[in-house]
Amino acid sequence: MRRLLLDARRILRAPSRNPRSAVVLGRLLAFAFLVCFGTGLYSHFLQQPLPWMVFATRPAWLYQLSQGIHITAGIACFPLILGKLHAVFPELFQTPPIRGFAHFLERASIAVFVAASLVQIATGLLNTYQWYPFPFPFKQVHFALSFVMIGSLAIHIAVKLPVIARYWTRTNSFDAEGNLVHDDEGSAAPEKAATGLTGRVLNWIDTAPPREPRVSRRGFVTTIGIATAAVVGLTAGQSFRALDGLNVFAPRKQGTGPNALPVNRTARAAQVTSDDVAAGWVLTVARGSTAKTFSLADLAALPQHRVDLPIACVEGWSQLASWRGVRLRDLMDSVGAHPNEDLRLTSLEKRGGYRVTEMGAEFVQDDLTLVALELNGDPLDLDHGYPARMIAPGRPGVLQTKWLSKLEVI
Amino acid sequence: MKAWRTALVILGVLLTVYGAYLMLDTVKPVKIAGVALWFLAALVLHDGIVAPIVFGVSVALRKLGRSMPVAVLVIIQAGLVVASVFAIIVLPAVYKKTLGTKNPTVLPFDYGTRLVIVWLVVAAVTAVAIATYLAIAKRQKARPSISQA
Repeated sequence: MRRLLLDARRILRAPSRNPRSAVVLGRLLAFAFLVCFGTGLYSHFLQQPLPWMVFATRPAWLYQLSQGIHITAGIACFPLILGKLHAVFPELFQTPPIRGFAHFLERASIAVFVAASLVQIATGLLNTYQWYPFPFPFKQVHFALSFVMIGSLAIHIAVKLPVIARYWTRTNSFDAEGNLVHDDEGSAAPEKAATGLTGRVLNWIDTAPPREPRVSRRGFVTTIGIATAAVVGLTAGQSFRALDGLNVFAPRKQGTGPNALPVNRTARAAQVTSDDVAAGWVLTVARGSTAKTFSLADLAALPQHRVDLPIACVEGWSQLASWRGVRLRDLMDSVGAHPNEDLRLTSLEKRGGYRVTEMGAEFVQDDLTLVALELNGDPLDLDHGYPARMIAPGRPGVLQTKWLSKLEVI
Repeated sequence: MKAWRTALVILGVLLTVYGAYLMLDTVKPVKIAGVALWFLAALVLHDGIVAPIVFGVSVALRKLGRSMPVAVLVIIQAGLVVASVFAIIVLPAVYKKTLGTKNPTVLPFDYGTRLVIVWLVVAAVTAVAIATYLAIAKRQKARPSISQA
């Protein structure tokens, strides 16, 4: 067994598999993980704020940027983590496999770290396709795993800190000829040559031509860099207008769909029928015992405002659009709401986690927040929330309630 | 360094425990078993399938390309890695599209065709890189520079 592990480590040795590569890719990956964690927490708390939380409403594209970065950094993690795992793969075959309780904990935490990271980015990618082939709920597990990941990242950094410090700078890592400096030239050669089939396979691998360490090592890190730039470049156009022309593989394309805007949840999926939004539809605005109802004609007769605001989905895609409708604050004034009061929004949709949501006073009072009736110059499409939907700056798409039915001051 | 390491371990354990608590608090036990199953599958898929294939391809390339300059081999490997990473990201979209999407604005492209086109572009770029490398190497051989002396 010991010889098998030693043999595995020996044949797996490669110039690209070295502590310097692991440190270079590791810090990029750690940075991407921390960016995903930070932007993820921001998105989480926008949707489930703690009672004392107040959010920035400017810049209006803040959430578009933060969630676009969340998804794009997540996609960048694919080549980065594969490269990082490649650099350290021989470590899987260390011998003895477990050297004591502390070593067992270290290896267990690595296993959890790797598994959590792979599952997190894989299910995250599938979520952007609105595809849930896994036997657990996405939202809760994605949130819980983010803490497991960042926690095991901290433990991993603690364990590897001497190696990280040793190979942090280029100057410390290479000698004058540009060869990697190894502190312990430990021999991984087996005591006795393997015989039989194993021996023949090992011998076949051993006689493969050797590699020039510098070319292989640099080529490896450059390759991971190119792969990362390529996957980001060809997908980030779903979130960033400037890259729209390069959008080859993203699950969304700006400018497609009704009103030239993609749809996340259709009226059909939300079980909103054309009867629900027929001539009898009214928007109820209430504060305590005061309640007013507005038909679509009533809303259209109020002063109309035109704003350019992005719709930015938790799944990462976003698009700037032109909205026209009634300023929310005007409706609040009509029932005598105070500037510090929050709002509860109810949609016509029959089911769904976001049928009833709440909006903080900072968004309610914002000049840009509209009860929109028009989108990109035309009345809202039924799939975009006809007759009236909310649009506010800097909030996730799931909170831009479609098919509004009731606004209650709370 | 000792203080930093201790602080990181404490922070790490606290965050991990909080994550585990969130999981137990918000996800049913049978679903947590599903997460565990996917953890195991992820490790088996990477360590047992993806990594050995990468290793096998790398050995085979070295065997086949024994007469090639190392840099050419590295460029070929780079092309294969970039093409494979695209496959990992895009093939799930190709398959999901065959299952149907919730509305036409989700996965609007023909991802399979686009993947093949991008693979061809990667192959072309790889070929150009190899040709450029060989041309430069030939010129340098003809007129040795000081740095190579």
